[in-house]
Amino acid sequence: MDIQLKRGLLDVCVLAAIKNEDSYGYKIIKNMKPYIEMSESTLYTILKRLELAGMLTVYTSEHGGRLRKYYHITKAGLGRIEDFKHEWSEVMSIYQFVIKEDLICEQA
Amino acid sequence: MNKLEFIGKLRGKLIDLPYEEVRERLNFYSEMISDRMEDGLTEDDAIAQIGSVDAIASEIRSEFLSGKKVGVAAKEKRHRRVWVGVLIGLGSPLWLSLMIAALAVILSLYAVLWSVVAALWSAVLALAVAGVAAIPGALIFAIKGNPLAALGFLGMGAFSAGLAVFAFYGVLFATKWAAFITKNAFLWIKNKFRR
Repeated sequence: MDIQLKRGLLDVCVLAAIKNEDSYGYKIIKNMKPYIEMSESTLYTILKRLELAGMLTVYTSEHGGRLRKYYHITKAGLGRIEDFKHEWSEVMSIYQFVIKEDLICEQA
Repeated sequence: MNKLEFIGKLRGKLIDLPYEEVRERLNFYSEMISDRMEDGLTEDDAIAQIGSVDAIASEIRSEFLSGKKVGVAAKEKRHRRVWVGVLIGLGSPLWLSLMIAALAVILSLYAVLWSVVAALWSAVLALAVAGVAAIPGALIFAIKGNPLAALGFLGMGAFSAGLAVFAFYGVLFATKWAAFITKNAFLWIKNKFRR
């Protein structure tokens, strides 16, 4: 997949993982696993980038005698998810058109 | 290998990078290992799932460097702008006076062009006035009883008027041409300053 496209998609993926409740690193990867595999370093980069863009905030909480970092989605992050959903319906329309043209070509 | 050894080895591979950045990333990985263990994995399995020390170290390194490159490029651009500003400032006595001289030449050319146009229009006006003035002049000659002179005067007046009409169109064309030249010269100069 085109690397820029993938990066944008993974960003939204991570945001969706923390949309309904705050989550932490490993849990995010686990939730995404049925759909997409993500390595730790990729996740780290994405989380850092989203934080810098103001799409999520980070806080630490004590858990089992150690500190754990939790990620919380912001309004901007939620907006990004909505934008993605709109963009994607456009992509689907284009895809429908492309395969339709393909089918016509095959029949001809 | 246990978690502490793993993290220690990782830090060793990244010893040349800034400590703060490395520490943040090491904490992240440490947390990941602990979370996996909590999920039920053994320490060895958790570490194995994360990846090898070498692989992670090179991932961290390349991600850190690419982030840095963006920052360096931005900084370099800023630095270049500052230098350009300094050089322009230092050279200003030279290029400023040259520019003023050039502007003066251009303005005088402009003045010359338009005074020639003004002169041409006055010539047209003079011809027209002469044509019109011939009528009262001819009348005076006619009254004084000099029909030939009157006719001659009228003739010259008609000639002058006709010349005025031709000259009018000629000078009008010359004026439009002068305006066109002026506008294009102005645009040409303006484009030279667009960067």
